[in-house]
Amino acid sequence: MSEIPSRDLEIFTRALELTVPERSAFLGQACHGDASLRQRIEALLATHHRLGDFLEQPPAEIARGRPGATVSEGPGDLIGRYKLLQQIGEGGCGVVYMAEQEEPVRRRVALKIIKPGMDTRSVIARFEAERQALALMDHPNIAKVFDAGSTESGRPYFVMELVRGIKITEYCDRERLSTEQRLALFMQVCHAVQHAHQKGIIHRDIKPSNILVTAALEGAPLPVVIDFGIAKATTSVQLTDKTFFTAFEMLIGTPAYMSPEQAEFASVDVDTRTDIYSLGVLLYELLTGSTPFDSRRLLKAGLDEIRRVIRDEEPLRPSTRLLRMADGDLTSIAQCRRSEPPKLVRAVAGDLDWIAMKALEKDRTRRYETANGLALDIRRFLAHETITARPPSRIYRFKKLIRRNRLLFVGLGLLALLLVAGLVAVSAALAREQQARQVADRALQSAKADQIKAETEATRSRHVTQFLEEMLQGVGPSVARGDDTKMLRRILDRTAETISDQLSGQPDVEAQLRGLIGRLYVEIGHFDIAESMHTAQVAIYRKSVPIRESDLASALFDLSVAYWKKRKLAEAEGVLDESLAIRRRVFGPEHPTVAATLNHLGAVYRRQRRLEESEKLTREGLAIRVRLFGHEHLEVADSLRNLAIVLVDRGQRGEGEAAAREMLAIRRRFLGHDHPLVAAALTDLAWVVGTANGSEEVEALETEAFGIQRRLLGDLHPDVARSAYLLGERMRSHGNLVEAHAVLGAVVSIQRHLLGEGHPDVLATLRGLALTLESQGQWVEAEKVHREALAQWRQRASLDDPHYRAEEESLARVLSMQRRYDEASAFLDATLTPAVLDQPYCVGLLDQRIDLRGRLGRLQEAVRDAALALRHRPEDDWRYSVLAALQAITGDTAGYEDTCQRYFARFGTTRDAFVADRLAKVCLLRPNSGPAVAALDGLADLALAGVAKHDHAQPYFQLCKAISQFRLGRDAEALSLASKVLESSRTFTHGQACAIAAMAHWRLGDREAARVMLARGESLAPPTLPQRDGDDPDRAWLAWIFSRICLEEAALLISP
Amino acid sequence: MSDATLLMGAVDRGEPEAAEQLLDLVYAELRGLAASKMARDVPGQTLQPTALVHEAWLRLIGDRHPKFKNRAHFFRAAAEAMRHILIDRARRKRTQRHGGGYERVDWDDLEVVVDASDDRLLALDEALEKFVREHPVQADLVKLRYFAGMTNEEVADALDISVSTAKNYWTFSRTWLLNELERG
Repeated sequence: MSEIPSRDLEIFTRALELTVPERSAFLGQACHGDASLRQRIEALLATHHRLGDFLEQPPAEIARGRPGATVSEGPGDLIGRYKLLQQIGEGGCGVVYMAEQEEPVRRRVALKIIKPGMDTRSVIARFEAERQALALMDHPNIAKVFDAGSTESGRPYFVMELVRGIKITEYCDRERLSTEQRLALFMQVCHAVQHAHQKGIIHRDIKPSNILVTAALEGAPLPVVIDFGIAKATTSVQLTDKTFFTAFEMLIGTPAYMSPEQAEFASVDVDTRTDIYSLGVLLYELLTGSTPFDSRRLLKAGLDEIRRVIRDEEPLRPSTRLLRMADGDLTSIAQCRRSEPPKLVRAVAGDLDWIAMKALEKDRTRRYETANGLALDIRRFLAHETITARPPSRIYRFKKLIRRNRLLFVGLGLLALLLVAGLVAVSAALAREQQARQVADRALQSAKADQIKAETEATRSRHVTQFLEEMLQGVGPSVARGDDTKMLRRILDRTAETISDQLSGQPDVEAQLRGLIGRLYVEIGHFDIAESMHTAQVAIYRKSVPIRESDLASALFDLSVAYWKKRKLAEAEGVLDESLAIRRRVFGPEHPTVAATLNHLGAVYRRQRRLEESEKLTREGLAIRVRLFGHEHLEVADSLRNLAIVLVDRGQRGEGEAAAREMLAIRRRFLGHDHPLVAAALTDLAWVVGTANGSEEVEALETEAFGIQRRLLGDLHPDVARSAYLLGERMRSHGNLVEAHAVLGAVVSIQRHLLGEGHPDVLATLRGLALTLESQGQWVEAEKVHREALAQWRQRASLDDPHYRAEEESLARVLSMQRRYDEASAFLDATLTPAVLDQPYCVGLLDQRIDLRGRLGRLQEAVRDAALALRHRPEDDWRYSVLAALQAITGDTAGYEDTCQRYFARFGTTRDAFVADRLAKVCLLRPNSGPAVAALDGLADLALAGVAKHDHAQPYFQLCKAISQFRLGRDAEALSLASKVLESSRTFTHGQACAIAAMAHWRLGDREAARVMLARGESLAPPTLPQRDGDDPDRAWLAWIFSRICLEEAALLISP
Repeated sequence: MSDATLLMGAVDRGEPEAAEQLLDLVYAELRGLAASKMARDVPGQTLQPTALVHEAWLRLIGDRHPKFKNRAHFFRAAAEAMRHILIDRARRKRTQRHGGGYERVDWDDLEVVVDASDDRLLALDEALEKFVREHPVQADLVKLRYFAGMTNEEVADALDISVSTAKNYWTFSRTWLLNELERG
C-alpha cells in the first residue's frame, strides 16, 4: 500500500459496511467530537445514495465525422432562395439553420440540411409525392413544411416554419410543470398528430426534439410538432445498401422512440399506430423522466439487441420505473413535477400506468386506435372518469406468458399427464437398475449395497424433482406474476392424486415429490392438502433406512409451515423442536437451516404469547444469519421482520419500526417492486407504524401492498384477503363505515371459502364487520354477525382466548343496546358459569352484567358481581368505588366501611386527580366510613388542583370538595361550591349537589331554601331509578346511587 | 529517446524528463490514431476513448511484456493524455458556442454522438484538480479508471493495492467527486 488512507476515506468506507441505523453510533464514536469531519462523512454518505452509475460510463463516445462535413454549408451561404443565417440545431439526421427567404415573401424559416449518405433524388421525389398532403395540414400545433431541394453539394434539404422553442421535455422540467400540466401539453400534441393522421400523414419520428414548446399567446405554452413528412422522405425505402450504417446512425438519436414495427428493418409496413407508440414513449418520459428503454443501454447494445429489446421486452410500468429509481433521482424527478416521491408514484400508478402501457403495446392492434383516443383517455383521467385502458385481462396475460416461454408451455394443459408419465418412466428405470444392481451386488456386503442403493436413488430422485420443480415453479405465482393459480391448482391436484399409486415402490421419489407439492400448495394457500402432503412425507422419511436426517428435518420444517398456516401452534412447535435438534446435530449451531428454524420457532412462541422467549430465539437466528450472510440478505430481512413484530408486541415500538424499515429496504433492493414478499413487508411495516400512531403512511403502505398482491395473486388468496381486511379496518377506524362494511363483507366470504370456518382470519374479519355494523347502529345485523362468530369460535377446541370473550361481551352489549335486557341477562348468566367466574378474563363479562343489573335496579346481585370483579382486578381503583357505593345503597354498612378502608389503604397516597376524586367521594358518602375526613379533604384538594389540567372535570372536583367541606362543618364553603356545581351543565352531579346544598342551607338556618333544594334533588334523582334507553357509558345508575344516598341523608336532616 | 518501452523504464528509474516525454509520445499517438481511424473506418462506427488507449498500447508496446509497474506508467500517461484531449475539446467547443472564433482542428471532425455534456466534463475536471490535492492516490485511480478505461483489477495492479481496496477507493472517489459537483 503506497499511502495511509485518509481518515475520511477510512471512516466512510467502514460506515458503508454498516446498516443505516448502525451508522450514527459508529460515526459518533469514530469522529469523536470532530464536528466538521462528521459533517463531511455524512454529506458523503448522503451523496452515496444518489451515486447511480456516476463515472462508470466512459467520458464520451467518439464517432467519425462524415466526409461531407469538410464541404458543409455554413452561415452566409445561399441555398436555393434561402440565405443561411445561423445554425440553430443539430440532430441525428441533419443540421438546422435559421435562414432568410427573400421571395415571394420575406420571412425567416428553418432550413434543415440532411446529412450525407442518402440518395438525394429519391428523398426529394418521395417528399414531392407527399407534398400535397403536407400542404393540407393546417394546425396551430404543427410546423408547416414549405419546400425541399438539394444543396450544391448534393444534399437534400427541407424548409420549414421557424419555431423558436425548446424541446418539450426540457421545457417541462425547466418550468417545473406538474403532472397535470404535462398531460395538458401532451394532449395538444396528440391532437396535432391526430390532425396529421386525418390528412394521411404519418410522422414516424415523434420524439422530444421534434416537439418544441414556445410561449405563444399570453405566455400559454404552445407545443409545436416539427419535421412532419421528413422522416418518411428520408427513411426506409430510400436507403440503399451502402447506407445501412447511416440508417443505424439515424436511429442512434432515437431508438428509444422507435416502435416495434419500425425496429423490423425488413418491414416497411408502418402506419399511424407507429406514431401512437412514439406518443406513448413521450408520455412515459414526461411522467417518469426516462424512456421505457434506457437509450444509453440501447446504444451500447448494437443493432440486433436494439431490435430484440424493442420487439420483445416489456417495459416497466411508469410507476414501477419511478420506484426503481435511486432515492435522489426520484426526488429530483418529483421536484421537477412539483411533487414528492410517494405522491408522484401514487399519481402515476394505476390509470396513467395503463394509459402509457396501452400506447406502448407491442402488438399495434392493442394500442389506442387514434391519437385522439389516447388524448381522450387522458382527459378522462384528469376528470376522474373511468379510462378505457385497462389492465390486460388474465387470459391475455396468460397467452403472453405462454408466448414468452414457449418451450415450457408446450401443452401446459398436459403437464400433469407428462409429470405422471415421467414419474412412471423414471420409476420403472430405477426399478430395473436396482434389480441389475442387486444381482451385481450380491457379492458385496449387504450394508454397503444398501448404501449404494440409497445413494443412487437419492441422486436420481434429486434429478427428477429438480426437473419437476423447475416445471412447476415455472407456473408458480411468484414467477407467473399475476397469472391464474387455478391452472397450477389443477396440475397439483392431478399429480397429488396419482402419487401413491404410481410411486409406491419409490419412497424417496415419492417423499420429495410430496414435499414439493406441499410447498406449492402452501404457496397457493391450500393448507389442508399441504399438511397431509408433508405428514406423509415425514412418515416416509421416518421409515427410511438408513435414516436420512437432514431430509427428515426439512420435511418437519415444511410440515411446521402448514401447521403454522392453520394456526395449529402446539403441533408446529413440536415438529420445529425436532427439526431444530436434528439440524443442530447434523450441521452444527451456525447453519442457515438452524437460523431458519430458530426464526420460525420464535414466530410460533410469539403467537403463543411467550414473547420473551420469542425475542431471544429471533435474535439468535438473526445473529447467525448476519454472521453467515452479512447485513444485506433476504434471510436477514426475514429475521428482521419477526424481530420487528415481537419487539412491537413487547412495547419497544421504535426499535421495531427501525427493524421493519430495514427489512423492507432489503427486500426492495433484492426483489424489485412487484413481489409478494415486498407486499408482505409493506403490510408488516404498516402494522408496526400503525401501532404507534394512525399516520397517513399506514394507509399508503397498505394500499400499495394490497395493489401488489392483487396483481400477483388475484383476489382469491388468503394474503390478499388479509390485506383487504386491514384496509377495511382502517376505513372503519376513519369512520368510512359504508366502505368498511362493503370491504369486510366481501373479505369474509372470500376467507370462508379459502380458509374454512373458524379460521382466525375469518373470526377477525367477522369481528371487524360486526363492529362496523354497531357503529352504523345496525344492531340487528351486528347481533347476527356476533352470533355467527361465536358459533364458529365454539367449534374450536380451546376457548381460552381473550378474543372469544370480547366477542361474548360484544353480543351482550348489542342485546342491551336493543333494550333486550332479559336476553342479555340470560346470555350473561349462561356464559358466566362458576368455572368461567374463576378465570380473570371473565371481568369484561362481569362488567357487562354489573352494568346491566345496575341499570335494571337489581342492586343486590350487582354487589356480588362487583365484589368478584374487584377480587380479579384489585388494581383498578374505580372498582372499589362501584362496590362501596353498591354496598352503601343496599344497606351493607359494614361491607361499605370495609371497602372504604381497603380503598383508602391502597390508594390514599395517589397523586392522580381522578383517583383522589373517586376515593374521597365514595368515602365521604356516609358521615363515618373509616378514613379521617381531614385526609379525605386533602384528597379533595388534590382533585381540585387537577382542574388546571382537566378543566372539563371541574364540576366533579368541585362537588368532591363541597362534600368534604360539608363533612368538616364548613357549611358556607360547601354551599358556595355546590351552587357552582349546579351552574354547570354536568347534570349527573346535580342530584348530589342539591342534597349537599340543601343540608348546608339547613344548617345555616335557611330552612325554606333547604326544602326547595331537597325537592329539586328529589325530582332529579327519584327514589326509583329512571330507565334510560340505549348505551350508558356514563353509568347514570351509579350517579343515581350517589345522589340517592346523599338525598336520603338530607331528608332525615330536614324535617318537613 | 522515443521508444515507449525505454521511456517507461526511465520513468520507473525516476528520470525527471521521462514522464513528460512519455506523455507527449502517448498523446501524439492517441491523436494520430484517432485521425487515421477517422479517415479509414466505415462511417457510423463509434470509438471509445478507452478503446483508443488500448489500441495505442498495442501499437507502442506491441507484444512485448513490460513489467507491470511500467505498464502502470504507460496507462497513467495515457489517462492524462486522454484527459487533456477531452478537456481541450470541451473547452474549444464551449468557446465556439459562446461566439468564439472558429478554429479548424483535426479533433473537431470528431463528433460526439452521445453528448457527455462538455460543461459537465469541465466541471468534473475542476473537481478532480481539487481532489488531487486532498487525495492524490485516489485521484490517480480515477484517472486510470475513467480516462484510460482500466478495470478494478488493472487499477489495483497499477497502483499496487488490493482489488477490494481499489473498489473502496473507487466508491469513495466517485462519492467525493459527485458531492463536490453537486455543491457546485
